[in-house]
Amino acid sequence: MKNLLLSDIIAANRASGETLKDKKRYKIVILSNLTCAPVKDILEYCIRKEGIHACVTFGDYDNIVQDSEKYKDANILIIFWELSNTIEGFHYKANIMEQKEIDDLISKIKSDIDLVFSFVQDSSLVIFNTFSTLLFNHHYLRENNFDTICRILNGYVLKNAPKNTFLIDIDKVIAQTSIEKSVDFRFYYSSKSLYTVEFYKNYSKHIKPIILSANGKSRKAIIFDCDNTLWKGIIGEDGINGIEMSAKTKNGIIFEEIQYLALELNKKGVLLGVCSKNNPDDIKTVFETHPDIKLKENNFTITSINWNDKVSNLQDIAKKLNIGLDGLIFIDDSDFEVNFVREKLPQIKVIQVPKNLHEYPPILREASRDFFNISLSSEDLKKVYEYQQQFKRDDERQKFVNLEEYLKSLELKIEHFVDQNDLTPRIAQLTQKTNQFNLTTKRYTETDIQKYTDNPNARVFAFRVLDRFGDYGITGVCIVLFNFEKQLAIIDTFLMSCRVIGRNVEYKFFTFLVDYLSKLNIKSLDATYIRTEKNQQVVNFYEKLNFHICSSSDSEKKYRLPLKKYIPTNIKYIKIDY
Amino acid sequence: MEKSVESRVFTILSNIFNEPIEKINKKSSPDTIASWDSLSHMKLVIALEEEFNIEFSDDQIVDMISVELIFSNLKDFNIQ
Repeated sequence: MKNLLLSDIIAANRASGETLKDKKRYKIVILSNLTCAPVKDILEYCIRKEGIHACVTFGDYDNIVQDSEKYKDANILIIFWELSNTIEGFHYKANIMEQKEIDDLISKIKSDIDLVFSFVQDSSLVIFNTFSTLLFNHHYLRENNFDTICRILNGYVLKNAPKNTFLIDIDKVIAQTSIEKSVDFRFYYSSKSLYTVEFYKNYSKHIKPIILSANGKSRKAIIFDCDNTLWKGIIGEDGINGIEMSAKTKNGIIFEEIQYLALELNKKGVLLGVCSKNNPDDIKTVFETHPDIKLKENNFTITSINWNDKVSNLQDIAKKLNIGLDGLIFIDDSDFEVNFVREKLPQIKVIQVPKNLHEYPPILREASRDFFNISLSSEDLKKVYEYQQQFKRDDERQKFVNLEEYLKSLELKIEHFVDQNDLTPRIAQLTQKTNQFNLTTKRYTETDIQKYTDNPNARVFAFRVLDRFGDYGITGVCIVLFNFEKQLAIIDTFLMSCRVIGRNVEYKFFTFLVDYLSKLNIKSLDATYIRTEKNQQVVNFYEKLNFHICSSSDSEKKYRLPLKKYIPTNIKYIKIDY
Repeated sequence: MEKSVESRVFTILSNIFNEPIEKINKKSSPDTIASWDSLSHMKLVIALEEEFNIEFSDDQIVDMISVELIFSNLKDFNIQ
């Protein structure tokens, strides 16, 4: 997009809108006290390129407070609140104001901020750009009144922003663009339009990870080659003493930073893997004995060290991790491997270690934006460990002749939770990230979940699965809506993390659910399967539970189950708490 | 062959105002193109500047409210 002209972006955006017209709209509403017309096509295009049918609309000019209450059906609200236009000419008037006048204005703006935050707190998701004086004040050595006001208000915003609101430091976007290229004062004075096309391109790119994450499209694992990727040198040729990865050497310093960056990602819950053509023992020796190695074997969820081609190895890695190829980033130094994987597996984002090594850490930092997740939960941090338990379970699995016997040996347990507030972040995250075992694939934010939790005509069920190897954590969600008058319940969402697929816990949970609903005097249960590219595995889930089909099309199937027709599953090897 | 100035300008107008290129001619103006308002005019100015790598003055921006006037202002940059 960087090199596209505005006119071309507008044309390309119109075309991509046509391609995506059958997909559900992702509604972006921009509230502003500026004219920001060019952002529409640029932001839409930037997001539509990722297969999301983004549609931008604007609130009324300079109506941020009033409009923040209005757009309840927006998927995301973006607030461009330009301090210099809070009162006409604020950026120059502020500097000769008396203290009293400044204090009054600050408290007026604070109360506007309070109103906006209270209005948007039950919106799905909000982006709020923090205030900036950079475009007007970058010349000055000393902080002036306008700077002080800005600093105080940003402190206030930081302290009071609701949980669903992401604060975007707009100065970072200006810095990336350069001040000169960010602003076009011609249009500021004639049309109250401040920012340039260049700025909006960078801004769109900057906030893209938030929107991707809200649509379940963040990446999940990063797979490294070893030689000249995790360290300088080739272990098979240079030997253990010949490879470099410490700040003590000219090239090693880069690889030390790379290893720390990988550790940082790992700590945030990103899965690490190795895919290298090498002798496994050589690599093991490096991880176990090299004095400068920062990454240890237990940081890696998966390793694939052999002489097979990397395309097969990466496919195998995705399969073992149970994530799509589009969840992977792969890093390698070799032209051959990079081109081969790019050509055969275009869903994988492939990064080549640059020839100029100083460019390597910034490239990795930029790529790590792809892992951005709007809900950070403690589950992420546990995930790395859980996958390792999973591989232990898989080893165990091979010992048993049939699945039933294996499942019995796991000593599975389900713990259920109903409308439990402290699980909201995790539940929202599951709705955002779960693709395969997800009957309706409705993406919800924490605010959305909270609304269901608080609604007496809805129940948010969550369940945790445990077995003798460990705790899988909260891995299942079911949202049920009620029409008590009609004695009817409707399953809005039913999903399970891929970590617990294949253990029949869904059937056990369902028996529990039917029992729960019967106690509420519910007579029939409606459900829907909405087809996506990834949820083929549950296409007949409701059929298996004896639901009958009410209507069926290519994109969805609607079902009903009279509860008395339900045949409880007789799975004795899973315990569930009642 | 390099595209003529005329066809480059017409393409931009067609993209910005979402009108078929056949409907755009030298007489086009906000009177003939409904979506040519002050906001889309700003986009038009930016798009022309990007296309020809120029920067219009404040007066030129206000002046260019028809295709003929666009051509005459481009002439000031020796673009014709």
